[in-house]
Amino acid sequence: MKQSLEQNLKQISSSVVSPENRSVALNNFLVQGFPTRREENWRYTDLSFLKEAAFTLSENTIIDRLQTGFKVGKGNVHRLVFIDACFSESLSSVKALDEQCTVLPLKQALATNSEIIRKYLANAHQEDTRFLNLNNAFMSDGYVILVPKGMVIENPIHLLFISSDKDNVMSFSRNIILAEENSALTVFEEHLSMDGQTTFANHITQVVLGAGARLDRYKLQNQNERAIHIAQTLVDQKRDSQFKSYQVTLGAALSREDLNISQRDQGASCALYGLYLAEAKQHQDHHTRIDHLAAHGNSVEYYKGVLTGQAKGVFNGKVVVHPNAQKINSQQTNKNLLLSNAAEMNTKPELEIYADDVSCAHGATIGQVDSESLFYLRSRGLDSVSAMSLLVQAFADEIVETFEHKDISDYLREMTHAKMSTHFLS
Amino acid sequence: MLTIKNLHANIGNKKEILTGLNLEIKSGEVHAIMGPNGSGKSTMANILAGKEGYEVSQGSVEFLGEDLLALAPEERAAKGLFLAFQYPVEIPGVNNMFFLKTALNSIRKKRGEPELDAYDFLKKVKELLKELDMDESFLKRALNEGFSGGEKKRNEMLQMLVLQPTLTILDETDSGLDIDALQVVAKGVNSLRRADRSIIVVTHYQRLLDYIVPDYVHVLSGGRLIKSGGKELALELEKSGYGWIEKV
Ligand SMILES: Nc1ncnc2c1ncn2[C@@H]1O[C@H](COP(=O)(O)OP(=O)(O)O)[C@@H](O)[C@H]1O
Ligand SMILES: [Mg+2]
Repeated sequence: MKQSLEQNLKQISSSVVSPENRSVALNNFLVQGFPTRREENWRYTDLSFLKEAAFTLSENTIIDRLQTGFKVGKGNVHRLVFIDACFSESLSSVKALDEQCTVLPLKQALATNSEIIRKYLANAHQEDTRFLNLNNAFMSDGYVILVPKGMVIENPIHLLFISSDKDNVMSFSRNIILAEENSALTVFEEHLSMDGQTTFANHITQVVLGAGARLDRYKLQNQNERAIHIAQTLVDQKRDSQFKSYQVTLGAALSREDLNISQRDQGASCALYGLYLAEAKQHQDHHTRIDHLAAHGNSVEYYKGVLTGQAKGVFNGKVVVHPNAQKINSQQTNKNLLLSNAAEMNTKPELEIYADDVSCAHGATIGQVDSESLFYLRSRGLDSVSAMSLLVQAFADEIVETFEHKDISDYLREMTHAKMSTHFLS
Repeated sequence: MLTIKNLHANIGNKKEILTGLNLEIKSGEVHAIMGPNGSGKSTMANILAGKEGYEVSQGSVEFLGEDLLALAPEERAAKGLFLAFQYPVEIPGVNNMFFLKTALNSIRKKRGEPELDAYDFLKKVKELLKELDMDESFLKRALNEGFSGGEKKRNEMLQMLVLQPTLTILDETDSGLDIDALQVVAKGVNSLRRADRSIIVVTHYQRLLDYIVPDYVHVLSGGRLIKSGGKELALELEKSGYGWIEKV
């Protein structure tokens, strides 16, 4: 991989990072290398195959059709589309947005707002800097959303990432959401594949929520069954800000989601909901970390997974309550349904508390479909497949029901039900 | 309609729970089965409905000319068998109305009948709710979730009336019901009575049998029927209790 990465670096034309900085970042990464299973954070997710792999960047794939079925009932969809992390002007449309508000690809945003954006790019904060370095070396483009003070954007902003139909393509996006004081917005990130090729995608998204700002962030990862998808989302919350995250993981051969939230000032709250459905040999890993650094913070987390075939799932939810972060309320739940004997789930909620006046609870379950319920439904005439599907759907729908945006929720429900009916229960 | 011959059953090879049960039910008949707690009433009902976990070591059950024990639970339902459970399970996330409609249409489909039109179905269900003195809001709730004991029993009756079974088994549907609810349930059950349908009323108390008058009463004890008679047997049991049974 080392040689191929160095080779790739020489051919980059994207100007979002200077060649010198890319080179430094790659060298940093090469010293560190990919994570190994000896590390606690990567214990169940094996990336060793990447060492042998050779991916190439691709900059000029053109597609003429949006692969998504997502629609907004009323009003405009603001949509940015990226193919292999490169912006597609022709497929994107950002309509009737207030000119005070920026919704732009990174490359264009740097042309107008370069100082502030460079500052944020340089400030990406993460303990584990390996993918950050790799991303710094190879980022092609990404989205930048800057919402000024007090502005409320009604319609969701759709951020569509499509992986190429060329084999062995790697792509790196870098994204920034900056919501100033008391602003509010909803974003929907959707990740798809054009075709059945093996691709490697890394997406790093930095979010800063100013005092009283509100962000609802939906993410659907629905890539093909050979894709590798590794994403980090780093969220900084200021006073009284509210962050809601809705993660739906359906696709990819291997996916890893890191969602790190730092509540830096008092009164911040976050709610993280997740649903993952894994079949065949899919591997889906969700790591979340919430740092309560100030008092009166709230966090709620509820992730559910259904696994079948020889699928593997990982959930690791860490909540850290730092000294002096009093009056923290934190709840965390992870529930899993295994539909086959060979499916495997590793779940680990972790609590580290260094303050004394806090209320924290966590729990995790791994189980099968309840046989009493199954029998009840069958005794009323439902065949075993329908009964099973009804129960699994009911299990998953509990997460879908938390999705507040009607159009996004309808779409995500349709996608999850489609996956369950075609792959899970036939 | 139903012939149970010398039925022996156990759970995982442990103690035998049914120890040679014989019962013959003809079309149009109502049979009451009474007996003390733990005598095997629910076990019998569950085995008839097709619940897993019981091993039938001997005997046979014939239902409408077929080997009942060879059928899957849903096939039994399609043939017209219905068990009103003693303890209906709560199923969060499954909408009651959707479930009722799915159940009815599954059964109709298996019988080669057309699915019911949504409008007609809703109209029918609303009439039945009224008959059962149930609020329409029950349809919007998750199946049995958070229902009180009495509400669960009424919901079983609603399913029964929607599915119009040929053979109904009521497993202690009366327990936990007050006298008004009991009469509502009895009225529903009686509305099913027809020359081509049969009903098994499993109960611990005589009370229900004032409203659903049986043709035969049987006493189940130690896993088999130890006494059978007409409806007067229920009154006798009421007077003397089950104490005498242990002495038999
Ligand atoms: N799942 C079970 N596991 C072990 N024993 C059981 C189980 N279900 C019933 N039994 C036993 O079988 C006997 C009959 O139970 P049951 O059929 O429920 O009686 P009834 O309905 O007449 O009260 C009792 O001794 C009971 O403890
Ligand atoms: Mg019982």
